[in-house]
Amino acid sequence: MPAISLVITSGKGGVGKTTATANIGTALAMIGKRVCVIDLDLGLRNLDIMIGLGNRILYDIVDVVQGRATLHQALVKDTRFEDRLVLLPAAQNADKNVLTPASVRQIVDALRSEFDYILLDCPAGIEQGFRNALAGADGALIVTTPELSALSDADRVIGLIEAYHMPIGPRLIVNRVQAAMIAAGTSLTVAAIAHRLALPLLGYVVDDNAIITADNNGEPVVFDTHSKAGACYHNITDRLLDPQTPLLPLITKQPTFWQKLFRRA
Amino acid sequence: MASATLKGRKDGYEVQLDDAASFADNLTDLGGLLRQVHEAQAALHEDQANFVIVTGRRLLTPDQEIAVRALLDPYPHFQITAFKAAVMDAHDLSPLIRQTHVPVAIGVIRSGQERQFDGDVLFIGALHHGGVLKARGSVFLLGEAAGVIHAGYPDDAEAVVVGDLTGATQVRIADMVDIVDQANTHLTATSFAYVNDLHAIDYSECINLRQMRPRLYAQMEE
Repeated sequence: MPAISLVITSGKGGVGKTTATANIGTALAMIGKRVCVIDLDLGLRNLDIMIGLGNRILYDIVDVVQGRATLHQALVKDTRFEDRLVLLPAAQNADKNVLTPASVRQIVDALRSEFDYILLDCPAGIEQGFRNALAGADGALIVTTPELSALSDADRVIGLIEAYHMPIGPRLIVNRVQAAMIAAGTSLTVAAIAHRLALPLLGYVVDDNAIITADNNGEPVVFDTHSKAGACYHNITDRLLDPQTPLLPLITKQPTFWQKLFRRA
Repeated sequence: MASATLKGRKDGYEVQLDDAASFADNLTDLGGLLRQVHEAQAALHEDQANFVIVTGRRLLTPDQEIAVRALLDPYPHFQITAFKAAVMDAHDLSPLIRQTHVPVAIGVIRSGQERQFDGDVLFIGALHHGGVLKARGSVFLLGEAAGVIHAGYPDDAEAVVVGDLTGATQVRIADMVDIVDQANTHLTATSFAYVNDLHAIDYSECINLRQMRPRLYAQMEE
């Protein structure tokens, strides 16, 4: 079966698109799927660092488009998964306009027969890079955080994506969910965000320091079997494969009297 | 049976042209009728006569109307005051339908999107923050509205906005803008926005809509 290509996008920068791409890609590879992750953030690539392949890049996507390397020469294989996880890195110092929607579509189509999933890490914004990423995708995963500014940008992006009439409808990932803030009533709930954006919820990721540690170690957080964020990404991956998989319950315990007291102090 | 029938009217004559017959037959029979009318008028020492031509389910083309008028050339005191048909051209009809019919639009207007309607609109769905719903007529909302609603665009101050506007960003009617204040205690889920006598956007309860916009209410009852 040819690969399903999904773009991970958000509109707003810094909400966790690349982290989501790295973790979903890795989690899919961990359960035996063949995955290609493509970094389309020309000039500001960091998907390679998050996956831990930063020191193995020889060629990038621009080299492929401009004919300096073949597609397979540019693919960086992750040996941790017997080459099931593969990265096509972005260029660090190339002109942003080198890539076009047609060239991205061509690359994705060339990879379809070899993989189960192709994940496209979209740059922030809604300009050329965004249009390139959408051109190669069968569906979209929208990443947002529980802030109104991120929601507004996500809503704008969803509207633009809907106009593309992709075969797979967009789904939502809410990142950096803070259970304590939800319990205290100072943050929107995950369900309220999904309702507000009128989009099916794929999953959520709790705000977890383990993500920063994982990033620094070049190991996506899904490797950390004890981390909450890792469990959330595994749940997202399971729901991606089987939409009937229940959503991981979010524990939003009210802080106790003593917790409140000491927090104030 | 003749394909043109004459009927007397208070202000002249009505000629009904049978739409099942050919137009050529209509012309022949109409010519005969006019001759008879001319002779009868002459016997009564009257010459002036007005005709309304009724064509049933046949809509005459401009050329056909000229052909009908040409039959009156021999009778300078005869004149056609109107052509009437039971049917209308679809092109002419659609604006009339738009005037009386309130279209129902269903969906989500997202941030950065703008949907525009020619007349009144009943919008069912969600208007998100950053989205714009614009109508030349009134806007009736069923659902959540967090964006900008513009009724009476660009200059119809008679238009109203009905629906739950408590979460809206702005309400605009014609050339006026009201930035919806969340603390506005006058605004409820059952209020509506209109332009008051001082030419400013004001809010009232839906129950008062009939009194404030009787024309709109009459249109709804039709």
